[in-house]
This record gives sequence, structure tokens and C-alpha cells, in this order.
Amino acid sequence: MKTSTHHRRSRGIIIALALSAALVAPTNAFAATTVQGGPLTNLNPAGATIHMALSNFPAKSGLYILQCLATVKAGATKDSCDTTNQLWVSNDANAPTKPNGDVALKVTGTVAGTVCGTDKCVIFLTYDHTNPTDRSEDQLIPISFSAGVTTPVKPSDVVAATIHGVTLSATQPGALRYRTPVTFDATAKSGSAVTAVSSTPDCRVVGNVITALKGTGYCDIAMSSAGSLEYQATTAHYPFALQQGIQKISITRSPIKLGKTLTLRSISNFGEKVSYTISSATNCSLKGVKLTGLKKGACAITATAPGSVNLWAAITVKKVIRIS
Amino acid sequence: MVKVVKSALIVLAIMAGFIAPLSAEAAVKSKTVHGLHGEILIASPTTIASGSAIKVQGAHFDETVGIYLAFCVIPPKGKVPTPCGGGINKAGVGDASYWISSNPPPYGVGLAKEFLPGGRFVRTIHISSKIGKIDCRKVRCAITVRADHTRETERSYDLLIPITFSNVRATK
Repeated sequence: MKTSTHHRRSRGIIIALALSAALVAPTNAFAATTVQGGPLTNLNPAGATIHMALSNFPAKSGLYILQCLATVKAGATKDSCDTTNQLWVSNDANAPTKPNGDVALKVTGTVAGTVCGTDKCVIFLTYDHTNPTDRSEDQLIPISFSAGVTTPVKPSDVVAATIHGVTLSATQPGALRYRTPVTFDATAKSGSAVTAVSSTPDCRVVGNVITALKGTGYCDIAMSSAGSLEYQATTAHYPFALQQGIQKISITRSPIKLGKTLTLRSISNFGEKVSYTISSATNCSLKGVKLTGLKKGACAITATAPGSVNLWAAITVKKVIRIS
Repeated sequence: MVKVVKSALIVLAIMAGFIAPLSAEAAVKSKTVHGLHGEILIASPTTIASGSAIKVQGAHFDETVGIYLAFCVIPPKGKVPTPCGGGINKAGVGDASYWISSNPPPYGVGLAKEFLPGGRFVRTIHISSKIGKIDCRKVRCAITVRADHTRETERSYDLLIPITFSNVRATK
């Protein structure tokens, strides 16, 4: 069990180990972690929250995610980063932020005494204290702030959303299957209409229907209210974990008349080529996708279609068709 | 026997000047190419008369990456396909180019056509042997796929299937 003292000590070790700290490249082609989300521009310098969805999260260690000056040197974040709002993102039981949820980082317009403006600050991702010298996950994501300070004068609106009657969580990801659309209901406390967009390209939102376009990773769905006279506009973020879609092969329930030929579906619902076999040629014959009734009785067929990595699994369907 | 008759008819047709000196097999030949991300592109036929239609099918495309499908001059390796018949078709559907995207920017909703499940599409492209002033009988042209303008410089999604023209005009 790691204690918070241990945690602080480890962070100190990270800094101490950064004796030959190197300037981090703006993008790191070697970093496996993919970050999607936002907003990254026109941020309120008085304080803003950036919502991120992480995919390809490293298995061996967690990450620190924090706001830094663009000149941050790898392994030396103390003097050029906002360590107060730093996130420890890890599957470790003690980590306050898990990689499979909405990763929300608070940012401000000034870091280490320097005004960020439009080009001086970044989000910095780096391995946590369990892997402090490994620079392979270091990456910088530029962020920019608006010129003025917006002072909230009204309370923020509150958005609530459900799918099939189940309330969506901003911290616990819901589940979405590839190409299995789900319909959500969303309301705002202000009574304003709620509009939704996918902050991540792996999902699409049309109206109030969300469709996953991948079978692995995460999507962040942003639901916004324009607010009202009483409430300030707001956006709620809901993470979803993507799952493989369910491949289907459609086979008729109708019997085949003796001597007649039925053309079976050549592709699955995902377009995979379907292969058929029959267990016995006594009552029926099969040539490609053409099934012919030879004798009254049962014709047992087996249909198979291959899977596609990270999208859907292979499928085998057995069915008995009556020859009448 | 059937083959013999078929060959004889082709020879007679060539002699009569009705069709280009191409085999019947070549005239209807389809070509399949595979992309770096597992995508498959099929065009049929790949030898046509100017003004003819080509059926183009795609499968296993990454549905999170929008694409342009168009008939273009084959570019140098690593360069964007251009010029193209119909140009970049941000208006969505034309008969010379298509924008296919399951997650287009807001202005593209309703314009871009969505991929079918499984990253599939089927489109018919009507092709002229001329792209502007360029004659595709003299310059190599192809059915091309590229990532759309939201990934303007991304070349890893480029695919092309060269098209050749026979000497007859398409019947209207």
C-alpha cells in the first residue's frame, strides 16, 4: 500500500533523477498514450477545466498530467509547472484519477509566474514515480488562453443525462458497442435544450443518438446547455468505454420448398464474407450461397464469418432450415 | 466451344473497328488494392471508354477517418493526388468525387456520406478521359482515396487504382 508520504517522496526522487533534463519535444512520436478532448484553446485565464479521454494507456506505469510552461524540461517540473493541480492517472488503487474515465485537469492563465497567453503553456504528460526515468511517454499538448478574464455572475447550469433510464456518470465510463447506436435523454436545470457532440473521433453523435465507430478505447461525449437568464452555460462530459460490436448473420426462418433454391446472405451485418457448410447432403445441397431443397426434412447449415481486430469477433451460426 | 465463338467475335469486332484491341477479360477486369490500415479498395472495370462509369467499393476503412474518393492524376509518390475530376467535393456527392465520413465537422453533416458498418462504401464514378486540360490517355490517372481535408497532410490513407481508356466512346 503506497502512502501519500511515499508518493511525495517518490515525486521528489523524480526531480532528483532529472540531472540531465532534456527539453521535451512538442510531440512525441514514441508516446503510446493518445489524448483526445478539450477545450484546448480560448481558455478562461481565471480558471478552466480540460476534459481528456486517454487511450493506449501504458500498462506498466501510470502518468502524471499537469499544466506547464512550454519550456518545461523532462523530469524537472517543479519550477515550471502547476503541481498543485497535477493529476496522477494510474490503475494503482491509490491513484485519485483512473485512466478509463474523464480525466479533468484544472488549468489557469498563469504558471510559475508566467502568463500563458496563447503560446506559452502546455499540458505535459509523463510517466509517474513508478517509472521516473523513462521519457518515452513524455508529450506536450499546447493550450491557449483568451485575453480577458470572465467572471462568473450566475451559477452554472446543471446537465443530467440518462440512457435507458440509467443516469450517466462523469467519472465512471458507460459502455458503447461498435455500431450499436444508443439514444440518450438529457435535460438542463435551466430548461434549455441540451446539445451533444463527441469530443473524440471514435464516436459520432447525431441528435440524441451516439454511435461508436471503434470497438476499443474511449469516447468523451460533451453535452452542453446554453444556459438561461438564471444559469450560466455549461458542458458536462460523459466518458464511454468502447466494446466490440456484435456481428450477425441473417438466415431465413422460412422453409424451402422441395426442389427450390434459396440464396443465403453472402455478407454479415458488418460486411464480412459468410461461408456456409451443411452437415449432410441428404435433404439439401449447397453451392456457395445457393441452398437447394432435395428431400423433405431438416437441413442443418453452419454459417461463419471472420472477425476484425478491435471491431467485432468472428461468428458461427448454426441453423436448421425445413425442406417442405 | 463458347470460348472459341467469343474469341472469334472479339477478333471480328476489332477488325471492324468497333472496340479497342483489348481482351474481353481485360475490359471488365477489376483491381483490388490494400491500404496500410487494413482497408480494401476495389474498382471495376479498370479499363473503360471515356464517359463510362466505374463501380468502386471499399471495406475495412477506418470509420473515424473521413476520405475523398475521386478520379485524379497520379501524383509523385508521397504527394497529394491532384488535380482531380470534380475537385475536392466538400459539397458531398457528385458523380466524379465523393466525400465519405462518419464523423464530419459540423458543416459536413448531411453532406458527407457515412461509411456503412464495417468501414464499407459502394460508389459509382462517371469518368471522363480529361481532367480539365489534362488528357488521361497521355498522363496516368487513377481512382484515388485520400484522407479528407481534416487530415490534409496525412498520406498514409492514400490508395490508387490506375485507370486506362479504351479507344471507343461510352454509349449514352
